[in-house]
Amino acid sequence: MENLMTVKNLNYKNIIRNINLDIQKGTTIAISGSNKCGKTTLMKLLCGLIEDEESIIFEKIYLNSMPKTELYKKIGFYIPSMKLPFVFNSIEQELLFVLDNLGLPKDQRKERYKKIITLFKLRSHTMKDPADLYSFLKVKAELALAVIHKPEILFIDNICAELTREETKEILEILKVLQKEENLTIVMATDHLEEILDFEKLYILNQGEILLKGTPLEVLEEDSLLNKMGLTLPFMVDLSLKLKYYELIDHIETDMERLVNILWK
Amino acid sequence: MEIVLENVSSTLLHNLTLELKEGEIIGITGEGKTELLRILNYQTPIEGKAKYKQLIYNKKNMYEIRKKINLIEQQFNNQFFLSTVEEHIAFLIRYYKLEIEEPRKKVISALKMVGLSEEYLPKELVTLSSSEQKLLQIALSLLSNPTVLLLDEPFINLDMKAQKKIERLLLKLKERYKKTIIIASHNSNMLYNLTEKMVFLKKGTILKQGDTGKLYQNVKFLTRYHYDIPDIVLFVYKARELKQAKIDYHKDIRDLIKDVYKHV
Repeated sequence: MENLMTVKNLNYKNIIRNINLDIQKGTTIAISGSNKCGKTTLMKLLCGLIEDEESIIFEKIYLNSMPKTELYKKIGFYIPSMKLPFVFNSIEQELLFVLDNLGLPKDQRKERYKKIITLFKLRSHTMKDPADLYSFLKVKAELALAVIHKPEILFIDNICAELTREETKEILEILKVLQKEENLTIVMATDHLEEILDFEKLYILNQGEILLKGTPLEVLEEDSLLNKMGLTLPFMVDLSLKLKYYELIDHIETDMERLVNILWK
Repeated sequence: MEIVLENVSSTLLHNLTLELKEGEIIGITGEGKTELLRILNYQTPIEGKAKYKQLIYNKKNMYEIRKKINLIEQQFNNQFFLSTVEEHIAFLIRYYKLEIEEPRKKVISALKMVGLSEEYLPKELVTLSSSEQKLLQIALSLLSNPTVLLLDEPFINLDMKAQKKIERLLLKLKERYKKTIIIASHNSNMLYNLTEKMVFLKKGTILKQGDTGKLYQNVKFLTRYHYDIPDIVLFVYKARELKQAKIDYHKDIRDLIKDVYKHV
């Protein structure tokens, strides 16, 4: 399969060191690491918010040689430290403005708008002023804004930090739908590893370098290394590994009910 | 009692009745948790009866109450773009008109109390990591000798190492200096582990308050009102419900494993 984005020997100041990544279309990739490991900087580099000369290739050309208007039709991002202020006074206007700019025919515009507000369960909130939204609605409105133009690839940084578990689940489900239905490629940086257990790949950064990579479960087997770095293992992984150590189970089980069924047959 | 609220209302919350004891760690969760901190810190106008020790919440006592009940915001507040730790501290002392006899000594002892040192004084604020910023925020709030510390989502964007460090500091402040610690958060795992009492907010008022263990082990209550259930509680609950396993609720995962080992 061809890469949508290829990163070769990416370096930036002393924050990002020698990073190589192959990002294939439609895959889900997670990036994690302790505070100050460089994950936010890496995300900014990957979506062109920090300019790099020639380490990132996107759709066969250098990311930063692509005109920005062209680039941001194909890339969506949710990066809290780069938040663009809302300009209009309703969610509806914000979303429609993006679609107007794309120059889509009217019926397609309407269809896209409808799909997004349904998927994000924003229907009863479209008239609200984005400035007055409480945290969960705000996160949803901002994420909706990041994907309404149907990007090829979406970069998300720490989206669920302030959300409850139920809210986090809703966001992750929305992302799953977008990945399935629109073949959206998702690159997500997070501190909370339980969010990304069913992602296809996980990279752990340490002082700007890739320290571990693999499927989440492969990476999380390195529990003592991760703990030393200051990362929290997801509860189910932590519990599984400890039960495995006492030979009560023989593999990592991330589903609680299945684990209960294995333990008490 | 350290703080007593009787039928207190603000614009966002109403009919709050609450008694907070000295030297306890109390958690607040649910919609409106930041507002409740602002009420306790008297940042927002209130109706009803509120008392801190002998001081009634009124205009005259406002500054005294804010000095003694200190709010540590989620973000480090550097709205004046001061560049070094030292400048920031000098500004705060002037701004809050803190009467400190030997400011330098006091500042250094506050920094030491949180595990920072004198060396931090000339450091640029922007170079501090998020955990150092949080420690500094706590050190600064100690300058006015508060008896109550209010913390709004103190662990967001901190990794586990940093979180544990702050947690240990809070326990020390409680045990050695008898401070009352009040934490507003949505993180049920942390609240279950760290706090002794809990206040659950819903629809603008207090839905339930009491012993943390009891409330967080009441899975039916948490589910019904859409609160996050601590992972370790949910696991025990499922084992009991689905398999009638005879295991107990624990706070530490190692204790849970021992219990599971005995009962499978």
